[in-house]
Amino acid sequence: MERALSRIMTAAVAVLAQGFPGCVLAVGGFGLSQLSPGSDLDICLLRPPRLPAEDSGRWVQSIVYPLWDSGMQVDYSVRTLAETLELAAQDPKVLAGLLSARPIGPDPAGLFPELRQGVRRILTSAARRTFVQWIAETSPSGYACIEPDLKNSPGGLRHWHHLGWLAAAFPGREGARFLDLGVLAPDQVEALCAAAQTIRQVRCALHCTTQRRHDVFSAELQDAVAHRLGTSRPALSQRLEEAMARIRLARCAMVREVLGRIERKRRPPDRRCDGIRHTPGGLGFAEDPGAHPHLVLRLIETAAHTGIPPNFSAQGALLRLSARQAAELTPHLAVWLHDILHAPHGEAAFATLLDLGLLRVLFPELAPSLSVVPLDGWHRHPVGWHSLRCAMLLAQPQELLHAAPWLETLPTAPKDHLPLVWAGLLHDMGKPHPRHEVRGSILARRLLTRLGVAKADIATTTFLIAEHLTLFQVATQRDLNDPATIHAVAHKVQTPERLAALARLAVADAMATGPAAWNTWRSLLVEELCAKTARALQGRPLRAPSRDNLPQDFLREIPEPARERISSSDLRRMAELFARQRSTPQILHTLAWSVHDQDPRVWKCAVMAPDQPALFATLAGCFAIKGADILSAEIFTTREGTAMDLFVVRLPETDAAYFWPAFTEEARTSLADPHGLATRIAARRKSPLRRPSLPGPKPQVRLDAEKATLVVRASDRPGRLFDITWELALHGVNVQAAKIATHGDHIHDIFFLQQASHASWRLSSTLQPLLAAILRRLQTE
Amino acid sequence: MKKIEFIIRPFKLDEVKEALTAAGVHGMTITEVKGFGRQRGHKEIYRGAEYQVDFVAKVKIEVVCEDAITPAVVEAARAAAITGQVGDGKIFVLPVDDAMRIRTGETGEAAI
Repeated sequence: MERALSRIMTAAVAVLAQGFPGCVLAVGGFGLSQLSPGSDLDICLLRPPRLPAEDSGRWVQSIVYPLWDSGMQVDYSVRTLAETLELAAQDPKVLAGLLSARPIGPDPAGLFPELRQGVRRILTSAARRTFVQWIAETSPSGYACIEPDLKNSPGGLRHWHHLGWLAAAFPGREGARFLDLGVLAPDQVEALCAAAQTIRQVRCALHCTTQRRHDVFSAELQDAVAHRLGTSRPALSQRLEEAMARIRLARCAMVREVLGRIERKRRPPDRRCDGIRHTPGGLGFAEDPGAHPHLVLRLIETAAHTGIPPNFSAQGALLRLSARQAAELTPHLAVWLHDILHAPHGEAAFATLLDLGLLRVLFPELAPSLSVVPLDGWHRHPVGWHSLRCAMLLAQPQELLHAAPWLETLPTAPKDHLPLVWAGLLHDMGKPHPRHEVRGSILARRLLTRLGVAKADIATTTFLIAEHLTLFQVATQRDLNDPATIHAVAHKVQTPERLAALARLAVADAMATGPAAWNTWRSLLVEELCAKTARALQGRPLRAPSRDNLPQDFLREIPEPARERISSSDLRRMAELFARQRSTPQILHTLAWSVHDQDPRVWKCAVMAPDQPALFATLAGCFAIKGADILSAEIFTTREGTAMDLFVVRLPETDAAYFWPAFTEEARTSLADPHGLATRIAARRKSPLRRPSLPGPKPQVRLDAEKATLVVRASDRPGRLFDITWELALHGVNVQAAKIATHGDHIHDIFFLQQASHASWRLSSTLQPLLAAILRRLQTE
Repeated sequence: MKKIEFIIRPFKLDEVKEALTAAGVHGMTITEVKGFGRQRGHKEIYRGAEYQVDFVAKVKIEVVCEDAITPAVVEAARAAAITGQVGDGKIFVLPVDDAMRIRTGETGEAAI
């Protein structure tokens, strides 16, 4: 069809161009006689230099307008020979177009032979290197796609054209055709031509099916195109993938070959090392790999570390590796594969394995799944390429952690990457089985056992494969607010390490699948699931309190228990106080607000001040001396050493507007002289105006030396908290944190203690005297 | 005709879908969305590292149905979507002037 179309269009243009004094050139696909039904017609009108401009315009009208009127897409240019060559020397794209140019109709001025000579001159000049570099960089190599662009995807027709352009720029053979160059063995030439023919056939059928220029082999069109070509979709997809792989490989080697030859003078001569030869065209074998199969592994390993691909002859030799020779390599495969995936150019080297079909030979267990094309709307790449991408994301996780930074916030990072990378590579090997995760774990166990992988690694790998869908399935289909959901996942993963590994695998799998599977929506859900599961595994509450709009510096400073225990609204007020405290850090600051619950006298008060011995006792004493009852208190110390306390107090029957300034003043004064405060409290107790207290139960004081906690249960009295904390301060014990609670007339206080000298509790001689002193105070009315 | 938009919790999708089908809805469009209402969104802190989760993941279902069944459709979806907790979502009902099935050119209720 391509030739017939090209002939028809050539004849049509020839008729329209009759009498043109210059030369009409077909360029691009038209020049190569490779027109598909939806292709553009690329035409260049080489005009004689003396043809007046208005005459050129008339010729354009007479040649191009009828083509436009007939519905053709025509791209044209009108230039003189000199203009064309000047532009070609500057613009590689123009030069590339001219390499495929052919004249249509007569050429009375003999412009075309001059053009060819001019192009040849450019290809022997310094512009050649720029041209080849442009080819190398225009379309970098990439992954095989399920819906490839037959023209522009890696291995598409554009890459096929690159081969021709590179041949024309081949040093010493300028202007040669690729197939005549002699760099390929005859069977490689034949296979490449067949590959290009396959792609062109599919493109023609695609254009006929869509009735327009549409080069993306979309999933929805694949059945119709396969039917038009008399085959099935899976068979056509596999044929197309193999064809594109061949062209990808050939282009890669050709770019290297031509660049290598251009730069030969600057490069050292061929080097040999351990049976591998470094040539301008890439890595080659210095010895026959048929006789020494281990050289196959060494060559790919060298490619992974150096970034140099195999040359044409090495590609041919690799394609000939037999199953028997591959079997000899089995004991080395596990270590070798691990090394490749972690090497700097491991991804490209592994892609070469896939393109050459070598992975099927080395790992026959993978063969059935590698070419599976999952047309599920999620996947962008066939299984083999998807698995490679997934394994690479896990082996070199920078991209993974950039896309999902929360993975690093999980409590434990995976200890060993080996099972994780294996799981990434093998997680879909059960496809196309409907329960591929189960089937895959069975197949993976067999493969890894054959390769001699350690049993513990096999167990972890197969667990990860069997559960690789779990996190996303649960995250998107189950209620994450239901503790049963979270505990079921926690039960399944068992340990934080396995959760971290499974989360990485799930995210890498989703990222490698495509944007439908990995987007912020799904990330949000799986992140929430992982965070809650991690908390469940640690025995913590499933949800951390909300942290809306809290300043970063405040969040950095407050200790984790404060975030856990203080409500979001209270934290916001404390953040406000924190900002004030930052401006004048040397003095004490307070912020109080009415809780307005049932009792209008109950207030909350946040206090921040530089931490110092007896600070908590002083604050408790200040509340006592002002007649306020402390109902509860949470005390913390920031990382910078600022005390950060939150009290719930019942005020005396005075106006709060007067109470709080007076309290703040009292606290600031007392911090300078805590002993004075203690004296005033003692004097107040002796006052005849003091209301007598009813006798309460016997106080209980329990000190846990292991946990460094002091638990006090006693009847409530004014200044009770001061009594305890003052005694602690006198014995050189700091209160690191405390939970103060009042239940009716009883207090239940827990203090988390730290000795000022940081001495071990076991060795401390202060414990018994401290306990006795506290009990004495509690029993004294 | 009315267009009804349901913003629901993701895990309720299957239940709501079944309820809508049972209530006589023939087709629907489903989109993964993020947002917040009174629930506000949230920020999480783990191991001292703070990161922001401004929006909450939801699923949006859009259906167009006849006026007559609209109340039943809304009620069926609500019954399926409810958990009783903050963040159950919203239902919006909008008037639709007309509809057309592209393939056949049918319009009005025949097109839905």
